[in-house]
Amino acid sequence: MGQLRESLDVERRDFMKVGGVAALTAGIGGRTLVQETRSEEGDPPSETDEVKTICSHCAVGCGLKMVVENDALVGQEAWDDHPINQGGLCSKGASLSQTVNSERRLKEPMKKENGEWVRLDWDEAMAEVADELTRVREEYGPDSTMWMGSAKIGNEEAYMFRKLAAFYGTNNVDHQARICHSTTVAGLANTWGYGAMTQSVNDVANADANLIIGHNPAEAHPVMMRYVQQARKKGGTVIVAEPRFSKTAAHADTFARFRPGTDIAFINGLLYHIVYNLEAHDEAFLESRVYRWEEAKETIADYDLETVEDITWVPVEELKEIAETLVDAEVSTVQWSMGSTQHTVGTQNIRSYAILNLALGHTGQPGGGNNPVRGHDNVQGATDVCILSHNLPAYYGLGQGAWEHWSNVWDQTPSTSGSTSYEDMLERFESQELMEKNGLTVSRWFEGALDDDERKGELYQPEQVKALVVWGHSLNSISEMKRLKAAMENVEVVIGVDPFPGLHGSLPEREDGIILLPAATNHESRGSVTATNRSVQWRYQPVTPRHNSRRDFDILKDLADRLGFGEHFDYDDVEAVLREMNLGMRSIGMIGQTPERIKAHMENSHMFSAEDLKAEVTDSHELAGEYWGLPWPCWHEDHPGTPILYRDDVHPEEGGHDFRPTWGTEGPDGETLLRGSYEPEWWDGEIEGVPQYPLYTTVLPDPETPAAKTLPIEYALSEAHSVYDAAQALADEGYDIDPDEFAAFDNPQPDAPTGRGRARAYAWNLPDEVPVHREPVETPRPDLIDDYPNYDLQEDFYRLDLDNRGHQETFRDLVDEFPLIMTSGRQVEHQGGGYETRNTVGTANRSPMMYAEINPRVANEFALETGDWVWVHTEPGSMLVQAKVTERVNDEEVFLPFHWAGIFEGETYTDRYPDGTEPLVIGDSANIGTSVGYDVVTNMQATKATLCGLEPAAEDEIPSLSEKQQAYQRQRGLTR
Amino acid sequence: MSGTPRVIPNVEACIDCGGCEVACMRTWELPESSDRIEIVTHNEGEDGGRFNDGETSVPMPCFHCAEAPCIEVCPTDAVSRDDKGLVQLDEDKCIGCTYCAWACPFGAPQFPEEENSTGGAGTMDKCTLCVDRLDEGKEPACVSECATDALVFGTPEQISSEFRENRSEDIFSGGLDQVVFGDD
Repeated sequence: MGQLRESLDVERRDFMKVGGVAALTAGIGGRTLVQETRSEEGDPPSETDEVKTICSHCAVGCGLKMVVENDALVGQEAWDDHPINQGGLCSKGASLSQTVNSERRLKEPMKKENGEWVRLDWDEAMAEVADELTRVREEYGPDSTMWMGSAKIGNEEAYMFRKLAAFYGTNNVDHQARICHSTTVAGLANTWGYGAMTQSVNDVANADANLIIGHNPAEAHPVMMRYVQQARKKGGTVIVAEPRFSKTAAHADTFARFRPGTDIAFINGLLYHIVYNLEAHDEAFLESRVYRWEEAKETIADYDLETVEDITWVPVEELKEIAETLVDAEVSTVQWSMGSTQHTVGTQNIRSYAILNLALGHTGQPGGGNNPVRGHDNVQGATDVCILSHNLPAYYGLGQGAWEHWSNVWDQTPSTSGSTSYEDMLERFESQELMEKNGLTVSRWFEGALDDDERKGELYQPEQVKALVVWGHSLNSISEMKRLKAAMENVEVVIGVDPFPGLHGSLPEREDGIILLPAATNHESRGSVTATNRSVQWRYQPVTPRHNSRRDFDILKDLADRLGFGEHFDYDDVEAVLREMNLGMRSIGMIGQTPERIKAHMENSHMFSAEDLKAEVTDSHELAGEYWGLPWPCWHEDHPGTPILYRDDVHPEEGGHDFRPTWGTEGPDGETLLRGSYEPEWWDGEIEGVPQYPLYTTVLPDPETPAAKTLPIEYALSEAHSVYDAAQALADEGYDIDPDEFAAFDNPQPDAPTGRGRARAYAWNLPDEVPVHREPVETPRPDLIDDYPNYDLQEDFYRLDLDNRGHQETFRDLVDEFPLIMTSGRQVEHQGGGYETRNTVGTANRSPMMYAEINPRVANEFALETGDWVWVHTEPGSMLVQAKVTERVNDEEVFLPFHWAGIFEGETYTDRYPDGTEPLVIGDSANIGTSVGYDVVTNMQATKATLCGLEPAAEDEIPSLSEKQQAYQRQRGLTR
Repeated sequence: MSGTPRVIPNVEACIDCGGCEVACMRTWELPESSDRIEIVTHNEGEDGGRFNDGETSVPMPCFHCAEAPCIEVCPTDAVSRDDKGLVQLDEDKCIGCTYCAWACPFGAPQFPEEENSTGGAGTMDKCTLCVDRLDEGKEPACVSECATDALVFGTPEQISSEFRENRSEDIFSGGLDQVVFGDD
């Protein structure tokens, strides 16, 4: 405590406020002293309360209860009847209260001045932040600020963040989804209309065969494993396809080890066997519901099993066995995470999984679909509100129509007092061109902030990035960290908002120009959060913000005010924000999830089934028919949600759905994009393929009732109306629409407003219309480059150049210097950049070492034992880590977790943290070394296939770790 | 002893997520160096499945054995059986001799003060089966927060069928089942 005082400009703060005292006691358990309550919701002080919240680590969305005593967080209890986790947590969720009470939190606003951290009060700090952002905007233009926003704030806050960037006048706003599942969204949306997980984590219990590829749920989504295991108990088969024998592989029936970066070859090999050897693809399904399957089939012919074995490491017999398992299964699903997405061919990887699922005819049913399992607790929500540089909320894009829609919403919403218009918004931007131009991404923004270096290409915006706002986003999860660091040293100001000082505070070596604002955690705040299965949950607020932190909601309102557009952000409470979202986010049906309905679910969790997430109540009950969290699309205030996407054997008013004909009714070749007619059991007669209902994405209801049915939504769901009827009715109401365009669609039938289209096996708008294998930029198989080259130069791609092929050529013989494959991934104890978990006693203690997994035979060659320090050299940089000798990896590969920071290329930099906030455990950062390569559709970084070499460290190179960290390592048996 | 509740691992389900370890440490505000429950993983990285020399994770609390070796060897009777049949420690009587740790086949007794104390190992610490929570009608914290229901809680009678189904008994081989469960 004394230490803290020295570095603070001591203005008497209430140190008896629970958070301050908790800082003392967190190290010995977290119990805090009694103090006065200061509850924002006006509740009277109480004895012990159990407050329901949702874990803030991963996207499974586990429920738990915080035990609160007089505004002190004193413990946790399991939320036993939560339908997703039934009380279960992992080491991260179980330690949440320790995170909130961590003594290493950023406690006050701070600024770096003349090399020292100086404390500010909020007013000073916010004034300086606003002044700097305004100055940069005036001097260089609004595109000179890069807004890195967050997957770790509530939906409402995420929405406000996106909106704020729009009012500031730039599309340089992006968040973790870019580096997580951006390729999933592009891959799936380009196949069948939406980019989201088609089912829920619970539903995988219904999969007769589950192919888990590029995903380690035992560590990334532990609670999901209960459902993976249930499927096996029911006789199902679990196949794990992974470069390493992960914890998940230990719970699989079949394990296929394949070379990092060869997913498409692997999947195409399976498809080859299914289609050409077994002829077991579902022709009827493909005929009536898929567009141009023939193209995919032709491409697959190039992937005979011997070729695939050569490319992927997977023996022919294993390929056959896996393919046969999938074919024999009644229903199968494919699930994945970063192992699949973080590649130059990420979008295509995901397309290949979708095509596999379609070829088997297993889509759109319980146990059958595609499950990209999202990462952070609210990355799904933040993606849906599109903190994305190529989109406005709910995926409307950046075209004039999108801006007109959102200007309309922002003008009409009763949740704020401001008025606006398209013209008003346009004036905030440098030009219409820039208003409609994809912005910089979190994965590569630094290119826009660097002066020339040997790698830099063109920058396609007027000025460089001069200001960086890092809001709840880690920096060690981004590749090219050396250039990222240089960029952070080059910009004029870095503004960081986070409960912890993180790398935005400590990474850049600079004397001034860093402002840190302490944010409250999700458990000192409240609002909605969207889990990976599209269910929307509500977090109640257990305690008030600790120390001098503030809720993101409050910081955003204040900032908007100081930037001059506060009237568009003067929400009374977070509920008002959600209502505005319900009004505007029509395209994905984020409509019916009103605050009241969501809270009703949370309060009645015991009524919901863990099997299908449905409320098990009598028909007359208010919640009858509803699915937990009203997974989107939820078309109106009485709609039950859509638990399984594209499921056509259910009435749309009960959650039924279909593929989206997003690109119209016909492809460029004239072939139909609408599904074939069918006669479902729930309907007396025929249901035809239909386009999206006209204007369903832009017609607004009375803004005071944002979840009421609009005309197109009503007509879509109605059994008595056709698309043509809707068009005519809209024309009668004065909307600019020509009903004749829809005259062909006059069959009265109930549909989701998204229509009934075909999934596209052939995506004419993508660089590869059908997925093909391409060697990674850094490949151990240069002999394959000519047959499977990476993508050629792309100019002006998210305002930068991308030259995968150029780099690949430069690195053709890299394997001679760096003979091992380096891949990266997660550990169960840590989340994302590790800012929280490396500052939490339970998780830091359990996992106190940054490591490289090295095969025993390789380790022997270097005389390395677990705990020994070893350099991992790569082309971009070198990391100094400790060895973990294990059979998980084979002798051609090395694995590094990416959660670590505090050491940079072997140099410890804990001295750059404000006093008292140095993390409990530190390590070097894997993303210093991950390869230079990005997905050509989304700019996702390629972190899974890099080349490296090992070198044992010399004695004098070994960085010093804190006593505590060393003790943890001894306790865990990692060192002696 | 048949009425004594136990926490028994279901090794088929354990994924080594650490939820139980953290739940225990957090609930009882234990020092970081105490591992009242610890997951031990064998054959890391090896294929083969749980009972075929493949990777196996076993969460190990104290099993409150029917024929507890720790009770037998304790020179000061600091370790004894409570009225629920659980094996509990009277801290005041513990002299830190560590005989119990030597005798326990499972490594349940912990000595969190060992590094800091001079001469002795400090007072022993071990799983109490959350006896205070049991009195409130709650499950042990580890069971309550296990991600995959890999910890089964109940009296031998209550859990015997599940126990056999998930082959938990296999981990108590070589006479250990006698130690843990006695004649039940």
